[in-house]
Amino acid sequence: MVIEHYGSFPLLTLVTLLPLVGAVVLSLIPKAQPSLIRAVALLVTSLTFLFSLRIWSGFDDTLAGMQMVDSFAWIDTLGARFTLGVDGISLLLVMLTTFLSPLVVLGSFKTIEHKEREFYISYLVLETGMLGALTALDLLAFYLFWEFMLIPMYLIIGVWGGKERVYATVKFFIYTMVGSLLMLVAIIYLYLQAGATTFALADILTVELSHTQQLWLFVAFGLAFAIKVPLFPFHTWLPDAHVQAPTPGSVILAGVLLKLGTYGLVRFAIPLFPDAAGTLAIPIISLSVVGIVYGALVAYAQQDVKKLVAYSSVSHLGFVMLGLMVLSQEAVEGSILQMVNHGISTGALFLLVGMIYERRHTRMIEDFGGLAKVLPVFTTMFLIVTMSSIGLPGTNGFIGEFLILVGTFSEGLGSAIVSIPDPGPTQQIVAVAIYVLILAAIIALAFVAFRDIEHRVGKIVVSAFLGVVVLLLLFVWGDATYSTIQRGVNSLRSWRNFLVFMGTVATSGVILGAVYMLSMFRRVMFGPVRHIKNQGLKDLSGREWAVLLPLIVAIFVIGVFPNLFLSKMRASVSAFIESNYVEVTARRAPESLERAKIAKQQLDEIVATPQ
Amino acid sequence: MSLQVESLLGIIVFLPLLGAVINGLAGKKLGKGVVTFVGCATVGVAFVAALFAWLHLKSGQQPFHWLAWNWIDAGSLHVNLEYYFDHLSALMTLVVTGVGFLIHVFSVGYMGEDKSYYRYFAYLNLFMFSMLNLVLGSNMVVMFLGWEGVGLCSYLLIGFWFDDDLKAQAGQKAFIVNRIGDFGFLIGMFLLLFYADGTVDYLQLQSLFSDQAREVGTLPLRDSLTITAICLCLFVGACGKSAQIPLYVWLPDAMAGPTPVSALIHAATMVTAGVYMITRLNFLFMLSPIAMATIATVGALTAIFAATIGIVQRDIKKVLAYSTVSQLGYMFLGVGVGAFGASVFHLMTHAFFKALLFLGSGAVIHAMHGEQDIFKMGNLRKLLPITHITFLIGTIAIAGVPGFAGFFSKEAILHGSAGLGLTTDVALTGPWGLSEYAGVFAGWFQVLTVVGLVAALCTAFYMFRLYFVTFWTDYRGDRHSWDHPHKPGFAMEIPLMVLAVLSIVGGYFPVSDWLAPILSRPAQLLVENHDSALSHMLMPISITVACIGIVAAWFLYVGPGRRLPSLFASRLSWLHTVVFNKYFVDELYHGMIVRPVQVVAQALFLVVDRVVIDGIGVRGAPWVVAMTGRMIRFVQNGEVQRYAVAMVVGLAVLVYFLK
Repeated sequence: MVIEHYGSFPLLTLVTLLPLVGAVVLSLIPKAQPSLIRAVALLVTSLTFLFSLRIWSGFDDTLAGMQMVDSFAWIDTLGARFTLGVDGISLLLVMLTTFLSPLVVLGSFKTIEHKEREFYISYLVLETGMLGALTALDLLAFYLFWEFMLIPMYLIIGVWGGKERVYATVKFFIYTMVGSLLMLVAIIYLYLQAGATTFALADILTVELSHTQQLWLFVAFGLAFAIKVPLFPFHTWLPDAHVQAPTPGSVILAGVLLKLGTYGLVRFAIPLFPDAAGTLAIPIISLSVVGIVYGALVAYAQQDVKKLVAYSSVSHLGFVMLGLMVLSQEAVEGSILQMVNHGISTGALFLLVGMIYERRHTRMIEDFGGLAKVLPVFTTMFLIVTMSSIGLPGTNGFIGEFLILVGTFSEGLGSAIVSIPDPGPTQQIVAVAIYVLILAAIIALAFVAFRDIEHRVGKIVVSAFLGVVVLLLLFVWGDATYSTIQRGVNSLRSWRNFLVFMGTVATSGVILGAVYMLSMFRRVMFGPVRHIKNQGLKDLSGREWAVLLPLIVAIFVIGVFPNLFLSKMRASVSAFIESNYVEVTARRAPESLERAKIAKQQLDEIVATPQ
Repeated sequence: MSLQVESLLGIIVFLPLLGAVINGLAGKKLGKGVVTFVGCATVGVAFVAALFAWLHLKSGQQPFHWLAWNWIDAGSLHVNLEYYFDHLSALMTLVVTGVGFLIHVFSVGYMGEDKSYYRYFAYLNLFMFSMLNLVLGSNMVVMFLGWEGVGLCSYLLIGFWFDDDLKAQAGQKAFIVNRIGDFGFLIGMFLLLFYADGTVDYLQLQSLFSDQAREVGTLPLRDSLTITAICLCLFVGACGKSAQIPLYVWLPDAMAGPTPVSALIHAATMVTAGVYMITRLNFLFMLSPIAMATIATVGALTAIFAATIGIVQRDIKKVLAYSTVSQLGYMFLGVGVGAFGASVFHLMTHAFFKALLFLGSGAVIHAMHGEQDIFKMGNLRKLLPITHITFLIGTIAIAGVPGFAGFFSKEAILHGSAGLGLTTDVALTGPWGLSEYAGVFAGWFQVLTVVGLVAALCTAFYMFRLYFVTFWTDYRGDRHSWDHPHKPGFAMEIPLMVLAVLSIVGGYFPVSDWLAPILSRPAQLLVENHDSALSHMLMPISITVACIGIVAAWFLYVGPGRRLPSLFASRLSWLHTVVFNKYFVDELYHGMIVRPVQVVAQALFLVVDRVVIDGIGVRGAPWVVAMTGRMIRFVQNGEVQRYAVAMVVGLAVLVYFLK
């Protein structure tokens, strides 16, 4: 990884530490002046955003490597330096963080009504933690910031949260600690392997590791990140944390914190251990796709709007994980853009849910209905965000999902990197299981149909039809059905077929997304106004407009002009993919090393053309 | 003034968007007059611009592009927000903006008293924008932008009166069923993208799959299984948007929207998107005989299936809705047999006469204070003379009476179906080399033609049933509506008259010749089979069939057989029940798909999330720690006797092993 110096002014350090300075300033303001406290918090976060715009404009998108690197001496005895830098991958997430922060602060004005000073201090500390974790290029610094985020988040949920906040915080804390402790062990191991002189990512990347070492280290890093993402089945802390967190907490949790998991994967786990990433690609992709469908289905079962949005995050982040592991240019660019998109649209959804909660002190779907009549502006904004969330073309959500799926169907460089394990007898077991599942599903259907269909004739026709289908599948077409399934399962051993299959299942998320979002939207917004309490609700205030409008604008800008954002990451993403490719091919087949080196050289020439 | 002809496309597409934005953001403050002006003028100007562009094309100029900007660039994928005006998109644009403009004008009268007038026009303009993206886009992704956009507008307009929960549900159903189709569309597009090396542009695709490519052997994919899979996936998308079996269920429910919306979106334009898409990609579909045969079969089945349901419906809009499904089936039969020109021809004439019929029904419903049951109407020709005449013209046109538009286009489709057999392409490899089945296919298409004829009989019957029951016989509704009908104003009558004229003259426009430049290939893959007996007899048979339908409708609903329908319904009550309830398909879907998904969702949440992961996983980990602690505690509990026992046992074991 190339490290260049950008000027002498430590812009990145300034942006990262400015919120922390703000937190110190806040602690000097007397408690009794909440409006001053709010104003200062808003000012600090806005300034941070303004400064970060300078990062955006100064960023050279022809370079693949790190830019604007600031490196300070830190703990000399350990060899740890305080190094920050951005490349095309982290740039967008840094911008997302600084963009969301003032909005979150503005959105908290009414939500947080006690211990304001402490809240805004926690929030500003959290912002520094996030920015630091996104820009740190030194493993120890990264770990420090990673843990640095945890405590303010813990406090935000625990102090300003809902009724069951203690359970949620403990769960959140334990889940995250389990992951991060393993990561710490792995970092120390890497440090020792590198000669115990440096934590710099650039140096650690050159450490030679055997396949087994890579596997263990990848799992240690990966688990921390998978919990953060969260990847199915490590997701159950998320709904609890979201539901109990106050609105600003949920927004920043969904908006940025979850992305630290996927970001960690791109920045650390995959580049450090590409061989292991290749070996584990198939299980991780499978879990991601399961997460897409599972998150969507469970979201559909929710009665609480906030919980529904929380589970939808599991589904959306499944897309991001899928795109990252596929390792094709389109998919990885799509994934990174989708991280930003999810931050914007889910952030906006949590803000909207928070606004309605402030008015009615409930989030249950059944307590609403007909809000479109009472709150037309609110409903319009909600609709736009809903459309972004279900990926309607013209909004940002479409671009991300579309690119991820295009990349998935185009197989990328994966075939060179991914190793497909010999399945042994598992294939037979899977085939039998699928066959039995199909039969069981149809029988279950027949029962459901018999119970649910009200019309007598329809009841009998449908159940009888299904019964006949079962008999046919068992006795007449039994052999053909089973061998078809078996052939299907066998064919998944080709990487291309596997991806097409996974891509198809993932694409079904398009349907499920519409199902859970629209049925929630209908029950909340449409129909008659059933509850008297909903009749006199006030539509959006000026402050709420100010919070939502930038997000709505961002939804359309990314959806209509995605190239503004994709162009920033292009060089970095292609270098990321190529470097994995080169490393793994070199390791797997030494004879192809030459070819790979030439490819890498050509790539370097393309991406590193001087301005 | 030198206006680039290319930039006309920009005007056509983006002017309606401007209208939508103005009306949507400021319509409430602008007042009705301005909203009307903005809503109608933007579409009107778009129509005029489309006329100019069409004249340009007609004068023998080449089709042209207009690039708005580069939309998505990533890896090998390059998608431009670009529009393309060729013979096919020209025709579609004219139909969409022309019929669209008339319906905008009609809406001024129909929706005049609605509180959300501005919102209605904002949605309608947004729909025009999306639909124009769909037909003018020069690549599949822009088409998909329009494709999903029209879905959104359809959702918003079906649920326009959202305080009625049933209407909101109908909108939601439309969106979700359409999304199931979009799922297929996306998969097809992704698969195609892979083989076409990242290109989604029609012209580039066309050259990739061109004749030369087949002859030289550079087809991007030669495996007929994959081509068939791609085509069938795309066809799933078409089924969703164009309401074909098995995804037609949303369209009858979509009648919950305002009637002009039903005319514009759910009859004339949006629902024909599937036919347009397949015609646009005809070079691809022609490579897969299996996919083509499937499309033709689904089309014919849908045509007859929906027509039978139409016979027994009582709601004027429901009859028209099933009729639309049935007519769309015809169009798919047409594209399935490679008669793309005939299908687009029918698409156009159908847009005229079905828009006319829907608007006419709108005038009737408006006059009858919202009554939709035709058996509570009757003798309305006395009240609504102009509506009556125009409705009659539309009914004749759809029934297939010679001289009217529907006759020519329907005839062209059936002729294509009766006169063609499929053969396979030698350039392809794969398990389904079909040359040996060519004869079977030819026979199969004869069967489909007969199915089409039966559907035509049904169409003539139920349309005239609708006409006679509504406009003849005795009035059966309540007196108040009869004494104080809402007579339609000029804004409503002029569009009716224009459409009535188009329903006659539309049949004389040589669509197949017009489209010839973009449909040069089919003849090579489809063997013409004009010698079949059916194709010689086709015209007399279909005229006879139409007449039988009309006479039967007269006999049973006006003439001496007036008691028979209720007699049939009571004697064959089970059949009537099944057909009237639309063969219980909605119930079937509810039981087989909707409920299971709900049950599975609940089960996953309660069982997997709560019990397995949280219960066993999350709570299990501390439990293991606690249990380990308890076990170790047992060892070190400080009782000397227990230590002594442990020592003795340990010693014994040691001795045993050391012995």
